[in-house]
Parts: sequence; C-alpha cells; structure tokens
Amino acid sequence: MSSKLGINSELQDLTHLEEVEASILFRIDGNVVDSSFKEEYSHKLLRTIQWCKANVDKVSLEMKSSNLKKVTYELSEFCVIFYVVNNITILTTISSKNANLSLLSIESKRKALLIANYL
Amino acid sequence: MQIVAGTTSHRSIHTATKHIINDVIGDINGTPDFIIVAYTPNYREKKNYEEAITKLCEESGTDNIIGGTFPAIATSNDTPTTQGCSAIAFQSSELEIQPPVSYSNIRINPERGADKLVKLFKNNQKLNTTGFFLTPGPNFPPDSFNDMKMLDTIFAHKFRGMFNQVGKLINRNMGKKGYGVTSFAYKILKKLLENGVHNTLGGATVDLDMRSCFQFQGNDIFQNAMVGTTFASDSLNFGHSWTFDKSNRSKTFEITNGLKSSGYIHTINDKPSKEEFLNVINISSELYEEEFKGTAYASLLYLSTLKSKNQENLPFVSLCHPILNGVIATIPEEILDESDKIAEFCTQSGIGVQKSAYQCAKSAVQGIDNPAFGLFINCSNRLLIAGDKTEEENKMITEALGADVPFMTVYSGGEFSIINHKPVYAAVSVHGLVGGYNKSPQKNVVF
Repeated sequence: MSSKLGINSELQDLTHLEEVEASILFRIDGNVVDSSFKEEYSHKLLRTIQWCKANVDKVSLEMKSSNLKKVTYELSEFCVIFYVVNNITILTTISSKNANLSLLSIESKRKALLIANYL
Repeated sequence: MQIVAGTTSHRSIHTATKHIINDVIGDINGTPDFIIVAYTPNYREKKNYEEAITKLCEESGTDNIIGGTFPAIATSNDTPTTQGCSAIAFQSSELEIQPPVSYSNIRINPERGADKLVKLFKNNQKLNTTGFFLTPGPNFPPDSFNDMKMLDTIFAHKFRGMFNQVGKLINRNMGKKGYGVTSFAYKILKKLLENGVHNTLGGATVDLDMRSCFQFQGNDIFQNAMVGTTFASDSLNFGHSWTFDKSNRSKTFEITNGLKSSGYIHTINDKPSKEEFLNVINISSELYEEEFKGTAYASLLYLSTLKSKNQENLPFVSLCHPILNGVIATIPEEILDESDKIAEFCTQSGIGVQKSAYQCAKSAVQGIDNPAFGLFINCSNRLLIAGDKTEEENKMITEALGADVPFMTVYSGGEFSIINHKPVYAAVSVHGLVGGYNKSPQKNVVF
C-alpha cells in the first residue's frame, strides 16, 4: 500500500470509531497532510478544526520544548488529542466531549506509530 | 512447538481478520491445534463476528477456537488496540489442548457450565494440567438499575434475611436479561475446586459502553456463555499468578449491613451507604457522576478490598448509581460470608498498574526455566487508568518473561483464577498463566 493510501486508511480507522468526529495529520506549520471526517459534520466541528489549524504550530512548539508526546484539550463541544508522529507531523483526533479519552488515546497512539512507519 | 501471536487493527472486521490470518495463521507451518482470538467490541453486530470467526475457522482449518470481545487487546509483538483483533495460535505435539466446550446461559446456571470444564479436566491424563475459560462480563445498561430499586425499600432494610431471597430473584432476573455482575464465576471456580482442579485461568468479556459482548467457540457466537478448554502436558509446566496495585492504601470502612445475595450494601460505617461511600472517598455526588458515568458509575480509581479468611485481600468494584441509595459491590456471597467485612481502599495509579503487571508475570514464570507462552487477563479498569501507557504494562510482562516469548493480554470485565487449589475472584487485577519448560525433568514427589 502506498504511503498516501496507508496514512488515509489509518485516519479513516480513527474516524470510524463512534465518538471520533475527525482525524487530521498536520505538519507543525499548520498545513494539512491528510484528513478524514465523519460524513456529516457541523459548523461547530469546522470551527474546532480551524482552531486546531491556527494553534497546531504553538502546540507543537510547546510539545517540542517540553518533550511532550501527547496533549489533550477539552473544549466546550469537543475533545482534541494532539499526538506527536515525528519531528514534523502531529496527529490530531477530534472527538465528542463525552468520549472515553483513555481508550481513545490508546488508539491515537497506535495510529501515530503506524503513520510514522509510512512517513 | 510453534506458538504465534499477533495484533492487527482496522475499521473493518473483515480486513482485521484477513490480516490476522496472514500474520498469525500464516506463520504456523500446517494447521494450528488451537487458537485464542479476541476482537474489540466496536464492530457491534453479532453477524460481523460470525462472519469473521467463520472465515478464521475456514482459513486456519480448525474449529478449535475460543475467544471473545474485549475493550482492548494486545500481544507481545504489537501495541494494544481498541479497534481490531488479537490472536495466539498453538501447534505442538507436547501440548494437549482439548477441543473447547461452551455452555450458554452461564449467568443462570454456572454449575452446569462448570461440569463441562470438569469433564475436560478428567479427560486429561498428563502430568501437568491447567484450564482457560471466558464468561460474559458485567453488564449494566441504564434500565437495569430500575430493577434494583426495590432493594432500597424499607422492607429490604428491615427484613434483610427475607430480602436476600428477593435479591437472588432480582439477580436471576437480571441474569436472564444478560445484566449484572460476574459473581456467578465464583460458583464455577468452587465447582472446579470440588472436582480436584488445582489451577485455571478465567476472564470475562465486556463492552465498556454496556452494549453486547460476545464469546466464541468454533463457529458459534454467544452472548451469555462460558467457553473454555484445558491445556495439558508431560513436558511443559504451567505457572499461575495474580496481583493488583496495592501500593497506595488509604482509608478503611466497615460494610455494616447489606444484602449478601445481591452484593448490595445498605450501610457503611453504620451510615447510609452511598453517602458514606462518597464521604470516605471525599468526592461530591455531582463530581462522582460526572467522573464515572462513562463506566456504568463504577468507581474505578477507588478500589476496595476485603480481607477474606481463606484468601488474601480481594479487590472489588463499588458502584453508586444516582437512582439507588445503596452501593452495588462486586463481591460474591461466599467471599462476603468468610470475610471480616472491613474493607480498605487502594487508590490505583498508572505506575502501580505497570509494576503489578511485572509482579504477576514474574511470579507466574517462577519455577519455569524456559517460558514458551503467556496468557494474561488484565482488568479493563486498569486499562482506563493506564490509558495510552497500557503498552508499558506489556513491556513489563516482556521484561519478566523474556523478549521472544509470545503472549496475549485481554482487558476483561472480571478476572478469575484457581492457583494451587485456591480460588481467586478479583476485580481491577491482572491474572496470568505461563507455560514453559524446565531444564531439569520434573520428578513426582510423594509426601
């Protein structure tokens, strides 16, 4: 499987989980490498994605300087997990606010490792 | 002897199964004798699991398959997943694994299910024998708590002896619907013990979203069944162990009054149980609800233990539902009977969970010079505590067993063992079985 297809398949796996709304692979400068969304998405979700895009550079800088592997934000409508994939990419998982974050972080970590193998 | 383990993850159960067939079955030279397979519950429909297991049977060439659904699964060679499949396949002339058995409706009649396992044990003529079985796990869909409201009535408080019978009826009724806790598993352990079984390992399938969980045996998919088999060998030894994170002990409390038949506690420290329970753990009911509603209101971090006369401190889960005044405790009647009713809190931590996994594996492998495989039943509550550090637990197990030893870990809704003739029914714990060789041949010692 080519890297592009492989990465997209891993992102789709994440969005297939019931409570996950979107999964996006960001470059640390905020550019999107690849993404996957649930078929129906709301304006609220789009606003959250914009928030992620606008902040991913700051978040990744903080993660790099503090040597963090994962950062979780609990926003009013959604939860966002940023997971370091490699030096230049970050996996972002956006879930509903009621998601079980412990379980979700297990799968985000696994997907970050699998995506790193494709890059 | 060939033992191969693997984990795969995919949104489609068919793709996940295809990968597991390639990675695990494909690595076995010939037809495997026996396979343990575990899927995560996110594929939901029974039909999906039926198709996957049928495919697995066809491609592997054997019906000697047991398994179930668990919130997360892992093997020695891969990171845990919450969306996929794990399997461990065996092919060996030295290891005799009996064709597996199943008994549906195990919640209602555990003794009859245990009889099937007893028969398997009696069929074995080998030097060393152990068992492995899976059951349905705790299931508390929102409706189920309504059935328990009558346990709060004034009559239930005043006439506990009589209401123990009502409690039994409620348990039975919930069992028929597939609700309730796994305390029936204690009856299976007792029955096995009565029939001379001295070692076995068991676990409960569970879906943390409190939807259906399944058990597999051959091509059959069940919702409330026990599935199991026995491992026997003249050349391999089997080591068992269990433990939990007991590093952070805090307050104690007294289970003053309750309905033992249904594990329903009315008073703690002579005060109304729910209020006093929340008081002891120092948490408001609003925060408790917010924190634990995702896990059927079970207080995972605050693990209670009871000191049993015949066993060590046994951990159990306590559950406070907003519509109930009492506390549901996952303590089998028999354990409550033989304990001094003084419970102790052990607060769980990520590091403690990792350390206890190492202790369990290290202790199970004691007395085995060359471990060949491991099976671990680890509590799904520990999974929630460890989160994405769950992988570290498996690294600890690898450290204890050795780098090349295949093992499988399933995150269950109840862990059970018989270890050296003692039954262990525990919650939020890890139980392990390790098979392997000794350098010097074992001798029969007559005392």
